[in-house]
Formats: sequence, structure tokens, C-alpha cells
Amino acid sequence: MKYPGNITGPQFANSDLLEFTFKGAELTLPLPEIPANDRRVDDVSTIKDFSEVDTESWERSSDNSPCYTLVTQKWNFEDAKTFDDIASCWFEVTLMEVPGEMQESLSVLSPSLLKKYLIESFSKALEYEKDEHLEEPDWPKAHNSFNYKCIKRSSLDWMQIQVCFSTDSQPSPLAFIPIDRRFVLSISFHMSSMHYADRKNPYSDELIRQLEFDLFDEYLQNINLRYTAETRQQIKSVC
Amino acid sequence: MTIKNRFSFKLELKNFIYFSHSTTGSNGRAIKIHKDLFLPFFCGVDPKTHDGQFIIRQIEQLRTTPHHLIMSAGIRFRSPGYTQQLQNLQDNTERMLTVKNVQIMYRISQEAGDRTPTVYIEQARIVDKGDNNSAGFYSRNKLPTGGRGPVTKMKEISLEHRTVFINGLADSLDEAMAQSGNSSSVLFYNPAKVCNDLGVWGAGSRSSITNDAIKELTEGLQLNKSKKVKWVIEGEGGGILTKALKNVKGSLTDHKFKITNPKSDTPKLLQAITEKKGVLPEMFLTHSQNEMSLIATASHKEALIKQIGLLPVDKGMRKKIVSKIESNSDEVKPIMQQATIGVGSKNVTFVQALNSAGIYRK
Repeated sequence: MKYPGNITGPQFANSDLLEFTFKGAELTLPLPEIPANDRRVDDVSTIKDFSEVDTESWERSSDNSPCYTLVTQKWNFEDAKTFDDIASCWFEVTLMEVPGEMQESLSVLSPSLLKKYLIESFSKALEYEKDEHLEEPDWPKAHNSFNYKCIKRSSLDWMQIQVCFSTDSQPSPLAFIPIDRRFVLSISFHMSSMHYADRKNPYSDELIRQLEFDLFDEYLQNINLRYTAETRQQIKSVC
Repeated sequence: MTIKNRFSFKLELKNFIYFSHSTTGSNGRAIKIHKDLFLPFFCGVDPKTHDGQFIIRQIEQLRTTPHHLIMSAGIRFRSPGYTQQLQNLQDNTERMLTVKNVQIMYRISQEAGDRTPTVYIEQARIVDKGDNNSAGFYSRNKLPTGGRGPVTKMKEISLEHRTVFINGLADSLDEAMAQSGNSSSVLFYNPAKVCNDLGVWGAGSRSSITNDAIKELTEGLQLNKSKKVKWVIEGEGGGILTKALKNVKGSLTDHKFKITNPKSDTPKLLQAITEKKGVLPEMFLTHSQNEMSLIATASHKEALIKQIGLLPVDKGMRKKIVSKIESNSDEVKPIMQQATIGVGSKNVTFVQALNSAGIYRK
């Protein structure tokens, strides 16, 4: 990634690699080497093998599905000339176990069924903001499937939507990757512009938002997911 | 510490010490700093971190020859009178260096005993950064796929039976929410600018952001005056609450206040809570071994103990909290001593004192 202006930040192509094992797939996630800023967060799951994992004690989502965070990172992007921190970034990778009936019907492995399930769930969860931004037709909402985007992959497509992570911010990307019949991976990446009390950020909010989406795309390109023969067979049966 | 003019600067000369070993003038560059700046520096700059080391390096790079005294190639001659005028201007001008979250004010002067023109650092201020989010009451929403859900500003501030967390210094709304450690509590977002304005080593002035934040919190308190609300106040959060409580009309008899890791003027906060008849639960003041908070508390220990003596709380509890404050203050005594004695010791540079006090960081 060539950063615009004098911005400096991690290079996803040079990340460490994390391997996770599932019953139906092997996942390799890049773990960016983040700058040594004060108050940074760099947490990685100690569990690497999820093939027979018990999800009973996991946290619950708004739909009461068990969820577990694999990676949480927070760092700041700097300006190489002024050395000011110009944007902070929260990056999170979470694993969700889908309900039992979806596991039985292999819905996770069907892009159209997974899309339907996720859009309906998000419409319900984000119901509170349905009356906001009505004058902006492109604002991600249920009517435009939260700006749904299909990410083409050779075996099984991934999907991306947009969600607003705070009242005063612009929507950020959120991607979903079907892992096997039991799990879906979600990846969120949220950048916010930083301002020191006495000096203005030289980079516009638009530039930082564009950077957020570019970095997100680059991160997704560096993820490697290898399905087992059984999962490939299951994908064929539902697609 | 404020040095208003050249006269007061001259009076303070004995309190300046060399900044670091590489700035003692032996290799041409001399930088001195007022020793009273030790505590704000200790709390804002950790020489063990990347950012802290970077700030120190930038200060060490300060030039003693300002740009207007360097003759550029196009200028062939400057009269001695004009040069003297520029020199006088230099001697009386205060300059500023801003590196990351530190803003220092300095002047260049050659005083008795200085081998070379020397940089004198007279003031330091911590100027933390923040995001675009405004102060207000926020709550966390869950997502169907888990993970960190959106944080949204509450449209109706109904706090009945809720716990409200007022954050300490945080550079973003996300970080403020994470500080609370409880995703079901309401957050009153206290932006970094407000923390800087109202903190123990605050700017002493109030920006419009700070005034708006105080107004927002006052409205929340006023609207929920007769409701049952629990407040948890972290670090610098006490500053804004003290100001808001002063503006509330009536009493807050059903509001409970718990203060954790205070980094504001705690005696004033306790006084404001008592005046509004707020409830202080058992162990209303706790520390989680945060060195900055312990220093802040120790720096006004006497006033705090006096204020606790006036509180309408159980005598046993009062005794327990006072003894806790005493033992906490003892823990940071070495840092306080470093600030008053260590920094003044002969041949000890400011950075050296910062490094030695580093063993007390937790």
C-alpha cells in the first residue's frame, strides 16, 4: 500500500500470519505489525483450533448467537513530516456460530441464503436508525441491503456491507466470510480522523474514508481460506 | 508554573536544569528546563515508549539560532544596530514547539554561567488528540455477528436505574467505551479536549468544546434529577462533573457517585457532590494502581482529607478511605520526591530524573 501524502502505517503485505483450524476449512489471517503508539491494542485469540470447540461460554450477539473475537487491534496512522497522529484505527475479526437449523441446511455455504440471513438480522439490529439520513439515498440501510457488495472468490463468494460505528461518523466496511457449515467470520475496520486541540488535521475526512476502504480491500486480498473436500462438496450441493 | 515576562524569567533562573546529557552545551547545544515541569512531563511522556522517546529526541533537536538571525545568501550586510534589535527580539520572544501531545514554550537566552546561547523551556502542556465525536450520552448497540457494535448518541436521555460512566482521557469514542469495561452502561463521552482543559495540569482556560460538554452533562443531570442513577467517574472525568454539578438546580438525593483513579481536583468534586446531596457508597474512591491518578491525589492530599472529614458519611468508612489515601500517597512519595529533590540534584538531568522515576510507573 502506498499511503497518500505523508501518512505512514502498517503494510498488510508484510504481516505476520495466523493459522486457524476449523472442521471444514483452514484459515490464514494476516496480522498487521502495528506502530508502537501509546495506548495501542494488539490482542490475538489464544485458541487456534475451532474444529471441536464448545461455544457455550462465548459472548452472545444481538441474535443470541455465540461470538468470539479472534483479533482486536487499535493503532494510529501518523504524518511522517509533522509526526502528528492523524487517524486512529480499530480493527476486529470475530467468529460467529450460526443457529443449529442453519448448520443443518448448510445456509452459510449458500451466498444467497447467507445474504438474506445477514441483511434481515442487520435490519432488525439497526432498526433504531431507520429514520436517520433519509435525505441520503446512498446511506447504508435495509432498502439498499446496507450497500451490499459481493466479493468474488473461486470456491465461495464473500460479502461486504457498510455500518456506521458511531453517530458522528461515516459508514465503515464490514465483511463476512463463510468458514464452514458452522461458522461465519466478520471483519470490521473503522478509521476516525484525529484532531489535536490546537491544530487542524491536514487530511480531509474524505481522504481518510477512502484510505479506510482501500486498506480494507487490501486486507481481504491477503486472507487465505482453504476448504476441506467435504466442505467443497457441501458448497456444490447448495449453490 | 507561569513565567510571564523576562523579569520573572530572571528570578526563576536557579530552577532550570539541563534537559539531557546531550544538551549540556559541551557539544554546542544547550537546553535547560524548569524543574517544576517534572510532574506534568512524568504524566504525559513515558521515556520507555516509542512516542515518549520521540518527543525527547525532538526537544533535544531545538535550535538556539532562530531563523531570523541566520543571514540568508541574498543579504550581504546587516547593520550592528539592526542585528542588536533582532537579538533583543530573540531574548524577549517566547517560542513554541509542538510534538505529538506535548506543547512546550521556550526562550533562547545566554545568562551568566552559560557557555553558549541556551534554550530555556519554561512551560509544558499536554495537548491530547481526540476524534470528531461530540460530548454527550452514548450507548452501545449489539450486532447480529458479534464484535464491537455501533455506539450511538442517546436521543432521549432517560437514565432511570442506569449506570453512567464518565470516561477519563481517551483519544476516541471507542476507547472511551472500552474504558468503561461494561458494554451495558451508558457512556457520557468526555472528549480529550475537555480532559485537557479541566485536568489537574489543565490549560486553565475553557474552549467552546468544553463549555458545550459541561452544558450537555448539566442537562442530563437536570433531566434525571429525581431518577435513581449510578455514576462511575474515571480519571479526568471528575473535572467536567464538578462543573456540571455546580449548574444543577435542586438536589440529587437518588444519585450514587463512585470515583475511580481520580485525576482531577477530587476535593472540589466531593464538595460539589455533597452540596447536591448526592450519595457516596462505601469505598466511593478507588484506585487501580494508576500512577498518574495516585500522583494527582497525592498532590492535593491535605485538601482531600479535609474534604472527606466534612462528608456526611459513616465514620468507619471515612477512616478507611483516609488511610487508603495515606497509603496510596506513600506509594508515589518517591516520584513526588524526585519532582522536588531529585530533579534539583547536582548533575542530574531532567531526562535522567524521568528515567529514574520510571520504576514507579505501573
